[in-house]
Amino acid sequence: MRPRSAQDFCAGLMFIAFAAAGLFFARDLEMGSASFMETGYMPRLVSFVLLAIGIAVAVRALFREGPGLASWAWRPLILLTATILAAGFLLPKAGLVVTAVVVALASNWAAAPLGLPRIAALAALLVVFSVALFHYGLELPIPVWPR
Amino acid sequence: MTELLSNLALGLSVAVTPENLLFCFVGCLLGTLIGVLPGIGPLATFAMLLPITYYLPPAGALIMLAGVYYGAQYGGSTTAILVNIPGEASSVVTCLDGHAMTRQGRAGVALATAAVASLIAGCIATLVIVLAGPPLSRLALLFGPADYVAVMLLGLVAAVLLGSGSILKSAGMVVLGVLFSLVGTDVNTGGERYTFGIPELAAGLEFIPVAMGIFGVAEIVSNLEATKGRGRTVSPISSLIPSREDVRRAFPAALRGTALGSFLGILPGGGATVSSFASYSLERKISKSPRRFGHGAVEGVAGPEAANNAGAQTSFIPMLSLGIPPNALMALMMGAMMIQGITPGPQVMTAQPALFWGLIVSMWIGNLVLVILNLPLIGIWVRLLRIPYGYLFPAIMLLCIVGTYSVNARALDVQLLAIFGVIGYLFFKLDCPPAPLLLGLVLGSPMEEQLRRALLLADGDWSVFVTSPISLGFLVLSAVMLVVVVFPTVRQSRDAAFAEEQ
Repeated sequence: MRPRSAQDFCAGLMFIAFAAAGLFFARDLEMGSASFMETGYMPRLVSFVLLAIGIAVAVRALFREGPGLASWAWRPLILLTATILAAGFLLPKAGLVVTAVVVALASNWAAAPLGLPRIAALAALLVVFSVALFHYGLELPIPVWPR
Repeated sequence: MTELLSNLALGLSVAVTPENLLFCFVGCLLGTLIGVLPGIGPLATFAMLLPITYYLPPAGALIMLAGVYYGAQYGGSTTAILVNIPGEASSVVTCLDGHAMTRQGRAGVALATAAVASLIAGCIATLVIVLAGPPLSRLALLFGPADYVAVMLLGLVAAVLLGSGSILKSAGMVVLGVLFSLVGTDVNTGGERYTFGIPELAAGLEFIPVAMGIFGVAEIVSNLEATKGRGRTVSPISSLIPSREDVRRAFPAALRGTALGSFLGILPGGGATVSSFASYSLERKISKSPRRFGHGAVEGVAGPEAANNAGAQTSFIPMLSLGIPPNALMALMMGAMMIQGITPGPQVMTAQPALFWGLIVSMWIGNLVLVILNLPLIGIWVRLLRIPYGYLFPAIMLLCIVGTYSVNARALDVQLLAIFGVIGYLFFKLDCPPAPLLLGLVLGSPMEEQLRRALLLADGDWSVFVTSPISLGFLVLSAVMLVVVVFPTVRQSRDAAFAEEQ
């Protein structure tokens, strides 16, 4: 049977997946009882409630008309996620200036096709803005230059 | 009465220190700026500013965030009026008549009406908070653990029912938020839950990367998809002065909107959005010429604008007096308080009177600042509207990354930011509203604590929730709301199913 709303069906599956993960990773925790709950009581309780809702969402999607699945903007999603991970790695080692330039270049590569002079201006602005705010304004212990 | 006055005097003495005035001003400025800039909502703004507030004194931090809160509300209306793009959900109805006025060349009048209506609403709503906050806090001190669980449940149910989107999916998101709140050490037993052997997770899932990932990063990706980084064109602004006829129509509408918004803001699940919609339909219903609505009726700007500002402000009441955030923005506000080491709840008023009253008085000052700030500077805001998103989003990205990193100076939080960015985008694509998740995440821990305490005291007997009269009352109220809201949709979908069979 094909679901009438692929979007809702997948939403239901997502809830079920989170609930299943919740149950799986709590499998070794002790339950205890309602009067004294051990570590595993709440995780199981919440996971079961989520499981029930997930099943309800998925089953309803079988019968009720609704939107299908939307396409994903993979390019910005992947590139921006990679940018964040890279920046998290760079920030403590290479400092604010390098990170700001990397973020400016990578963001532009991900989505906005600005010309080279504009990218340079953007990067310069980001460097000034971040150093002023985070280094001088908030005095964060983040290096400005690579060390 | 004298107690009230002395409280207000205390608040005034806190709010008008040069430092706090500056925070209030900066908050309003940032809020308006970000409300006006395309593609950044108040939730994203809040999420971005949370780490910065970490470095401010508690009163200053909250005053600034409160300024951002109603500043963004205000900036959102500006874009609604000028370019027909609601900066946020609560200004959707302002688009209808506000933008119609702009097309008639009366943009300045619409902006001035919105500003003054908001100011009137802000002043009155602040008074409502002053009057309603203390009695509610005293009432809340009578609550036992079971009653707390019930009132939090009521708050969550109301937020799900009144929020946008599918009720069932919103409920799922609340529960998912509660599941995320379980990550970390169980305070009662000392056992670790869902930490995957990562020592940093033992203290729980950090609030900031989750909020920033879902509301900052995911929003950037979906905005890029929708706008492809383009800017917009805006027409110039003419006279700001409304005619006598405009004032005659707008002033009573603003008062009605204020009353409606103040009331709806206090209710759990209420707040700015519901208030503005309710006010718009009220104005259209009681108008002698309902046909003008949608074609530049000034009441359709004044009423909802007053209502959303009043609702935005009175929604502080449940948060400050009960420790229950009525909407996602208040959940973030509560997060900010917890980051500062303040547990929101009835004890805030007695334990931190300077903070509590200072915040409230600053709201009034903030409203004044907004009007002073906005009307003369409107030309600048209009110019800001033309900035292409391609320049803006890298700055938002950088702010999210450095902000997240700065809180604990550890790479794990930045990795969590990336993960929750992807998860947030998944939510967006599956049309699962992310705001309820935030409520669940914030309310999860206090709710769990009270639930366990209630059941411990009752020796594991779940009937404690129906034997306490306060708890029973809240549960019945939740059930009634569920039935009232769910039944029409059940009927509609059944009708639709029947129609297909024939």
